[in-house]
Amino acid sequence: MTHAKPVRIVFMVLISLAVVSLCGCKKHGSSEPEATRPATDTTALIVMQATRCARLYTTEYKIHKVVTHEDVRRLKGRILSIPVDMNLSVGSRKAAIPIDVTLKAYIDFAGFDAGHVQRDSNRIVIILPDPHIVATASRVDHKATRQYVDLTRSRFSDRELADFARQGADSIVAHAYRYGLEESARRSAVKTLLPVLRRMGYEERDITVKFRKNFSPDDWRTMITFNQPD
Amino acid sequence: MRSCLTRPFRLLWSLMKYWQILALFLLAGAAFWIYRGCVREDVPLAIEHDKSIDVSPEEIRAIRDIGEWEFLSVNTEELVELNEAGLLGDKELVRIYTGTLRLGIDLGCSDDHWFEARGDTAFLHLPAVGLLDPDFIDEARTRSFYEKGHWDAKARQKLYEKARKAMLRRCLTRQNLEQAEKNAREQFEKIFRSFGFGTVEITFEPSKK
Repeated sequence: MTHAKPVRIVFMVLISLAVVSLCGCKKHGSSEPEATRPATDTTALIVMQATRCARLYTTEYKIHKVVTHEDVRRLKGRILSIPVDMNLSVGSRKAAIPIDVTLKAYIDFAGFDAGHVQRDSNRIVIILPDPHIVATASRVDHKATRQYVDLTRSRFSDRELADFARQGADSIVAHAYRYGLEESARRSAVKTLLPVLRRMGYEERDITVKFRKNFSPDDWRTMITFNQPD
Repeated sequence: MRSCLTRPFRLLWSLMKYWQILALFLLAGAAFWIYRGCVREDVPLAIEHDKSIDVSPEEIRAIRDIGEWEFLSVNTEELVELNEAGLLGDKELVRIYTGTLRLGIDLGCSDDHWFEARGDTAFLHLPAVGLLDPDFIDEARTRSFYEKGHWDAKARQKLYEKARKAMLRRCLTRQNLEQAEKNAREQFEKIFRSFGFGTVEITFEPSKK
């Protein structure tokens, strides 16, 4: 009993020191105040945007993809130089979403002028503007969408499913340069312009329709647009 | 003198009886040491939650040569919602759809005689300006704005149709069709003048509506 009071005092002092040291700890990293995000007014986004253009769509591709995702949380890193990689999720959660994306190759004739046409008495050469690829539409097959969710996990939300579909469409558009669109776009442009040039009096053997160069996969990557008007 | 030396030892001994406190501080010290060990590692310990999709193949289902001339594109968004009252509470789903309506002419719908050349004059008889593709919604870019309750595929299909009708009502207007026709005249005139024609006469088929 005689030693209880000093013990209590020592205990209180140690607890106070621990609390003060925790509160006094600075956050690791920058001590600057968190930058405030500028407010975004989304009202302006829900408007119509009409754009004049002169595009010849030459080829249409329908691409199908089943987007899959397995939701796993893992603890990864090292503890005292011992590598750690363990699954933290209790139960599994998977989704499969079939999507269809329509890609179209087009040639923009807005800048087409006499400089793109080389003529002499018998022959004509048309140098087409550079082709582009755009995703004009996409559909998500909701009926065929599947979720496989264990009892210990919650179902995927609408937002999560929409995000997966968007990633799938982005992946299709990003790989569009692999589909051989250049040759099919050129061939289709020839098919459209050939009747016009023949009626102008040129023989088929005297007509040349071409692009300004052969495009590499890197060139095509810059010619893909994500369904946004110019 | 002896009492001065033994007093701190007696105090220490009394503290040692409260071994739980000592154990607590030792535990805290060990946890702090482990934490510092983890933080200082080149690969710090962290929870990984990968939200990206798996790598999966892409299949080309169809390839088609088309001859569609676009003269006006209307990019639009539509907010649509669905409400259902139920015994266990109300449900609500709100989505924002994005679409681009492309207005122009489809030369695939016309015969081969839409163009005639007579001397220095080009005569063009073009099909009516209209919506080039009835599929104009980019459903993969739909944003889920609010969700309450569980919704099935039928509900999402219903929302899609609702958004489609609203976009058509808002964007496929006489004014936009007239603007597209006006652009078509200007552009075809420019293109055929580039081919060397001095005069370009353009007529359009009447609209089927």
